Amino acid sequence: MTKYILLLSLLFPLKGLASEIKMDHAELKPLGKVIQTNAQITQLSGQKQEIVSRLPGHLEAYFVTPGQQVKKGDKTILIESIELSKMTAEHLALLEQSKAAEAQKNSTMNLYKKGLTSQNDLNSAIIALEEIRSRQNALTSQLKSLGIRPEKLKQATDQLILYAHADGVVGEILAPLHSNVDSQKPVMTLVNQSAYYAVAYLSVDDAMQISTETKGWLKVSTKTYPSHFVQLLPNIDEETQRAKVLFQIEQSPSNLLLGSFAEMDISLAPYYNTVMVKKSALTLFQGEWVIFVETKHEGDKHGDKEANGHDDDTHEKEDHNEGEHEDHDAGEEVSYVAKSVNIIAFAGEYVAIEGISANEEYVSAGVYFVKSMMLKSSLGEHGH
Amino acid sequence: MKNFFKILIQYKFLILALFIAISGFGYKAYKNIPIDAFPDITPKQVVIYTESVGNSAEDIEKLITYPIEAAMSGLPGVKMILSNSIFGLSYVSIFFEDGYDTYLLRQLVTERLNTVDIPQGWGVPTMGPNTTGLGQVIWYALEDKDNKYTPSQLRQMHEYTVTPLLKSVDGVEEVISWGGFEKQYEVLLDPKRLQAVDVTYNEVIEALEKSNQSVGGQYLEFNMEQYLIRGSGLYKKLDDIRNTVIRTKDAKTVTVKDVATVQEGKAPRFGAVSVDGKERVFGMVLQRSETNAAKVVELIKEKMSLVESALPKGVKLQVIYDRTEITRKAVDTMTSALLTGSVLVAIILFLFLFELRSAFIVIISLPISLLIAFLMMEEYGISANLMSLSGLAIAIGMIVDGTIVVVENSFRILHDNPKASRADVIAEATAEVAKPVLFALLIISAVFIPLLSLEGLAGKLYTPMALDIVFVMLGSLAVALLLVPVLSYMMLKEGKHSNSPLMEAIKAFYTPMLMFSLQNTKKLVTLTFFVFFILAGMLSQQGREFMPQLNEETIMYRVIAIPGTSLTQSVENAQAIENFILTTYPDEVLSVLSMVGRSEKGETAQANYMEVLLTLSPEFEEIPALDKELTKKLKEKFNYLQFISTQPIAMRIEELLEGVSAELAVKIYGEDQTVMSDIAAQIAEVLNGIEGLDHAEVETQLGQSQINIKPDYLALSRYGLSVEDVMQVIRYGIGEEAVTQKIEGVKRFGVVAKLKNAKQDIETLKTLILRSNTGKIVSLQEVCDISVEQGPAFIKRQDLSRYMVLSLEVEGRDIATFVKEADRKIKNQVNLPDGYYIKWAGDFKNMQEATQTLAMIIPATLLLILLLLYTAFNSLKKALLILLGVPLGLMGGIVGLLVSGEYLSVSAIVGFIAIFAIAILNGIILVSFIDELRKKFPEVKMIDMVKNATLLRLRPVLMTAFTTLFGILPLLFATGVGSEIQYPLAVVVTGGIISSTILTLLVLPSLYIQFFEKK
Repeated sequence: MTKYILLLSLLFPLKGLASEIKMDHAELKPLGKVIQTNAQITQLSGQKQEIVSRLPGHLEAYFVTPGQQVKKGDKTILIESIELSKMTAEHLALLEQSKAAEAQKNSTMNLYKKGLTSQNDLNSAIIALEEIRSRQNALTSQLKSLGIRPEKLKQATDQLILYAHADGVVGEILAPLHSNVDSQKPVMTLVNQSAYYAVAYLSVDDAMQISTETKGWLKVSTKTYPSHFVQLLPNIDEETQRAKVLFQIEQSPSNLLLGSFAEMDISLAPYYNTVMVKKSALTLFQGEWVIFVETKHEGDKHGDKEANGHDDDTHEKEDHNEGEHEDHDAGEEVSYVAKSVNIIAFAGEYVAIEGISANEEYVSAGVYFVKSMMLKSSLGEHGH
Repeated sequence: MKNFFKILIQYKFLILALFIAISGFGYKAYKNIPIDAFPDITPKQVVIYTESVGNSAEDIEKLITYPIEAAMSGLPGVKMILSNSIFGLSYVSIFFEDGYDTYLLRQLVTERLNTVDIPQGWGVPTMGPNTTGLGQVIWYALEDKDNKYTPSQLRQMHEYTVTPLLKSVDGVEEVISWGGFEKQYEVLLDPKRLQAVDVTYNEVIEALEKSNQSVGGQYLEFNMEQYLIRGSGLYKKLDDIRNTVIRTKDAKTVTVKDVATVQEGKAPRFGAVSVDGKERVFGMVLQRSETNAAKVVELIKEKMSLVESALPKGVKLQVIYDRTEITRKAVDTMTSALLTGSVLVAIILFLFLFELRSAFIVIISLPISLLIAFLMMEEYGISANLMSLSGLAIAIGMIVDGTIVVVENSFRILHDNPKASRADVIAEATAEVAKPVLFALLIISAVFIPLLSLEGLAGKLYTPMALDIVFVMLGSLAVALLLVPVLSYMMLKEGKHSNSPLMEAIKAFYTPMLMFSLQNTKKLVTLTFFVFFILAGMLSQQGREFMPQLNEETIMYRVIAIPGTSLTQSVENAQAIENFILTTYPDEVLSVLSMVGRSEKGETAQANYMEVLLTLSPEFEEIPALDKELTKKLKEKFNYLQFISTQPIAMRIEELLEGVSAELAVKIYGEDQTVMSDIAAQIAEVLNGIEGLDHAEVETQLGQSQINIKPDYLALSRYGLSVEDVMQVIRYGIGEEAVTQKIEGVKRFGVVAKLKNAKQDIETLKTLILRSNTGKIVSLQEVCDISVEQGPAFIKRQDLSRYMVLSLEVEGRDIATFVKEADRKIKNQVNLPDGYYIKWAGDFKNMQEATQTLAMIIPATLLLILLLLYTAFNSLKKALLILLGVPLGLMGGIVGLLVSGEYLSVSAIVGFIAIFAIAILNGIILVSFIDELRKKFPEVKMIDMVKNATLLRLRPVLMTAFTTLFGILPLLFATGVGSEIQYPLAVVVTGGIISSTILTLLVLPSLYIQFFEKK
């Protein structure tokens, strides 16, 4: 695979250029790709919660105003409900009944123990109590779900208080004050802030590379919000011909504007380790991308490709000490070779390439000078 | 004839008055004559350049250069069309035959230019300034002492304050700004914001284009008065740009500021100037063609103080290079040679004549003849330059010849006939010699005819010299035949024929030698001609060159980096070089200037090219040594760059030689640049071993990295984008072409709509987001094939065919023999594919042309001279005899050349031509006198008669020889600027005079005997 497009044993004193030319080793690095794209901040419909009165009634008061921050359990709405008064009255009645039924059962039990009454009577007393209790339990749980604590209920009430069932911001108020509400229509919406999402618009190519490990960073003005991949939405955006990818924003930010566009960096999952060199090592040479490496061995196997009869100039550097590239003495002569490489992908300051093996030493800075000298030699300019 | 001279003497005061008047006018002419270093050697040339922002060399060649070339090739008088298509510029240079009027040619070119069809948006062809290749008369930098201003501000000062003022100077054609930054206003668009507000890039461009407008609305009448109506919608503030509405949707407006930041920026540039490690703003004044450079520079310098007062305090103009300085030095060298020559000639005359009055008459003829020559130079528009003045210097010794003959003859006859009327005697004496003098001067003029026949560069260089010689000879003829008789009548005294002691000494030495030679005529003649042929053989082996290098007393380098080098890197290179030179030679070098790339107007250098000029300390003189040392050091230190040592004028001249700035070059013609490049490499390899090759340099036309964005039509259609949409983005968004202009008073600044970060990286470019007007969003790489490749950096063409140059530098060997060997090797070893061919070019070609022309003209001239001699002597034998004297002179010239080691240059050839004239003059004097004696004393034995005649003529022969010799001696010893060009000439003439004189006195008498004894 390694192709030497031009092998010039280029010799030149490093004097004056030693500081310009730097060497580095090719590294194996996971190759990930970062795509920058636009994303729209959104919320899924389920996350916009509606507050519904379970009982029909008359909307008596709102404790909150739209946009107000509420915590779970905060009072939001007051509804006067006849149903509730019925329920509470029944609850109280049942309480009394159950006491009576219990007393009845207890006396029947005593009587039965003394043999004064029959098993049958006792059974019917127990059944009557259980019946009352089960009605009482059902009602209690109903009341509980309405936010009323039945044990504290002393008298019947029609005051139904609706509490916020989650942290959030009061959205819209749907039912006007003093109107009648039923158990179907939402009265108010509560926006749950923990569920912000971003829909990133990606080209189809990029979208196909997305995996469950994909991460995204949403940049809203000066802040960056990490987010994770949720789903590749099945429908492409017809208008823009871009695939839509849903990301959930991980931390719950305080105030994001819904529907606004923001920039998002998406890193595709690293898919394999590959040889990378610094981007500054690349240059175009005789129509191909190349990097420069030092020639190390005498009688190089590619010597037969020697260009332009520079045979005379071939002095290999003696005792080349691999790795100790920094301490070239001034005047020491080094030869470089242009190695043609294939670019796989750019990744920030690095570039993944084919055509060089890992840990191979290459010129990572001052490529321009090396190239200049190679081209100069190939022009045939050598002072005699 | 005699009567004519009597009448002259009769109206002596009229004649005197006439000559005083002529001298007066001559002096005036001398004062007014344009001064230049060289004759105007530049060919008639019209340049057409087309700025085509951001376009590649290939496209420019196809779409601009070729149509222009094709249109121009049919013009009358076209000699050659050269073109160069580079990144962003098409440059076509049309060379015309001389003799056409520049303005007519420009008119014709304009007419043709109108028919050239160049695609919309690809630039407008513009005619280059009407100047010559040497038109850059003055270079200066803007010096900001307090470092108060930014490069952009300085550039603006230059463009809007300095340039208009300097342009108003008479004779200034153009002022070129270079360096600093051009201000522009940037609308920095963020593609993502565009996407968010549902606006396309093209809509922004359109909005910007439409908003910046101003119109007139005529007037309305109100209360008997007129009120003008103006619609002034031009951008005034940056906020005006910011508030430009792009579109309105449901009462929601999107303005420029919603999608972009508007700010002041710097326009992309093609060149920079750095002085002493710091970027500077720099100006170059171009002189209009056919104006007097010295005068223009003088006026510019006067104007500069006004310019400085108009500039803010602390900003000054610093003159870096003044071309007339070298001119002045060159002319000074020649003038001083001329003066010294005149003084030496005067002394010689006095020594020989040993009589004050006759010496005075002869000497006075010198300045008067020169003044007449100046008068004629002015009339014929010849400037005072190195070449024309050296013509005068060569002729100085010959000017007096006619006068000497007339005075001498008058003196002698006056002496012999003390009783006769003075007027009669002098008229008689003048009439006697009038014919030989006339013929002699005619012959001298004829000898220089070959120079007039030279074409091209050689012709332009040497024609003024030849013309000047003819002028001054004509002047001296007028003086000798009109003024001298009058002066002789008024001043000569019949006294004793006082013999000069010098003459006596020479005679005593010479007589035995003459006797010896007359006794051994045959041997002597044979030996002489044997030696001549040996010398001629040696001369043919002598190296040749066109013209010796003019030492311009400056050091300059052309520095070339690899093609595709970025401007930023080039500026860094330049500053490193500057600092290196300044620290290495702090005493010798005052300042270093680098001009990197090109100025914004019509030049073809690219960012990898720069010119570095050193300003040397005025006391410093060892320039060539320093040049050599510094070149070596620079090549060592900056071993990744190419340094070519040159000089400002030399460089421009070199460039004019068919666009090749090398003394020798191989031009490879063909179609495919890769093939040509291969051929060039092959040739370079073949030439590698040839002796004398210092280095070969292939002009690397390829190697410019390009990012090629090719639209993919299918992909485009998928997203509803058009090719134009993409190209618009490339042109305006990436290429920063001005969408509109913001006008601030007289200043105009481009407004560009630049895409943010588009040019950060190849990757960011690829992922640049486009948006179709149907709303589809796509990155550039999805709709275009983006490839990174290497293409031509420039494409050069000559007469509609592409070519590539391999420049060669030959050292320690003459070019002619080198070319011969190299040409043979190339033919044997390099296989040229069909349709590819090579030609030799460069300085060498001029020499070749000149030599060929001379080879034809010289024999013809010889015939003409023979004819003249035959007319004068009425004998073919005598005419031949005199011509045989010519080789005697040439011998000395050849020896001179061989001894000094100079090459056979055109300058040396001119020297040989001068010897021709001298040898013939010597011959005429001697032969005519022997003839005269033979007529008077037919019975005397041949050998005695020849001996007496020769001894009697010794004085005039020696006098003419010595005057010529001493006239030219100052050129031999001159050291100033320009002396090196005339040195070969002086060497040849000096050698020639010596040999010609000695051999005329020894061999010619022998030859005469050989020719005529048998009768």
